Amino acid sequence: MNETTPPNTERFRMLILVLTLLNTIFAAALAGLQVDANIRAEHANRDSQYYALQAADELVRLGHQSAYDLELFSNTVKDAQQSLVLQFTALELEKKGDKENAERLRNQSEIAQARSDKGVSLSLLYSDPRYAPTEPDGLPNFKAYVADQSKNPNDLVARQNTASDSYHKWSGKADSYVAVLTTLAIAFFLLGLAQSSVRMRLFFAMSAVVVMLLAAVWTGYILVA
Amino acid sequence: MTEKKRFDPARMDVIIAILIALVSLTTALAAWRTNVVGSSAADANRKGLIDALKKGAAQNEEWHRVYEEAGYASSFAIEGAAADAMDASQDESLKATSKNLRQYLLPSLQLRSEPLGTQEKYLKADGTFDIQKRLEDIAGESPDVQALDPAASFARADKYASEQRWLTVGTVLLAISLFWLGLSEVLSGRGRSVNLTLGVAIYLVGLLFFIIVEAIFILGRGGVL
Repeated sequence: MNETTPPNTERFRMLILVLTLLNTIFAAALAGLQVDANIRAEHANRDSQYYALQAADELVRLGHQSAYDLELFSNTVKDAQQSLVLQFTALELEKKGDKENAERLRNQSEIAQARSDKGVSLSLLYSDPRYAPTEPDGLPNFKAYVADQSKNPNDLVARQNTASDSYHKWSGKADSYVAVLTTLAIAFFLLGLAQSSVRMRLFFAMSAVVVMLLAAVWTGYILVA
Repeated sequence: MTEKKRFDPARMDVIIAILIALVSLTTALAAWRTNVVGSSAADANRKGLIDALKKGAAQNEEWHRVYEEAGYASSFAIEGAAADAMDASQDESLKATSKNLRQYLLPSLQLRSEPLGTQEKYLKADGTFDIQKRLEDIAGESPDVQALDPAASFARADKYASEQRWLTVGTVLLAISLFWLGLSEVLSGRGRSVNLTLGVAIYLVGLLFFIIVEAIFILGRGGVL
């Protein structure tokens, strides 16, 4: 018995040394992964905030542009309708023999029409071939206008959401790596006990191996998640 | 000095203790430097976001200003067309109204629309106002806002983050060497020399790696720490 104990003890001590080395390398790699995950999370967080800012700015721009385009359009339509009503009333008065007032209203109608025509020439909704009416008295293509106007902010919001999701993913991974590192600290503790204890050496060493395996499986799960 | 005396355990204890102190100091410095680089990355990100916020606020003001000008410019053009229509009529009261419009209303509208409504360069071939050109000109008036470049700050942050990743690897190597030196301090005989050799080798590799990473990134930044 005495002849076999020293080689076994030496073998176990070597085994524990190797396990400690493996645990150290594992912890070092995990620390690197944790830093990397943190950096990626920070990067995604920054992008998320940047896209949110850009989307907000784009919405402000969109508000100004839409207000201008739609106000010009509504005034143009209002002037055109006013001109028609005045023309119609002038015809009615003319039929009744009130030529003087009919002429006055006809003049007013021409003024309203001049306003409307100028508005049409200034309006993007009439001058841009993407939105301009295809028929002489038709309405502009508002569907295309709204789709074009909202494309940029929608794209930015989509990018912001992607970046935000990425941030949550990497932040979660970084947190999980910290938890695994804590588990490895327990393995270090068990390996230390295995080195100092002779009677319980095998028990502590095996416990450390179980904890290390658990940490390895956990790390693998975090990596593929 | 004989070989035996040179590797005297008591003497080795002191040498290893000094080595451990040196490696601890180096590891602490490396960890400090890695954190400084991480902070520089965070600072660059923060600056980028602040710049984006400032630029966005300035752009919003510019949009507001341009569309205000556009609103007055279109009103000026529309009321000008109405005045022309009044002049073309035979009604003397309308001609008088046109005269008053030109004297009182149109000059103030024109003043408020300057320069978008008054300069030829802002009038597009299709009759609409060249909002984009006016925006570019306004932006040119504020070189300090133009100089804000969030993308450049983000690119700098990414470089610092990349350096931080590699420095972390170096710091981990230094920490691993500390672990092996610690083992060599508590062990004796062949175990001590093996651990000591491993510890010193990993320390030197880690140190060299750290210095090379620092040199590459600092040179890449043109000497900026």
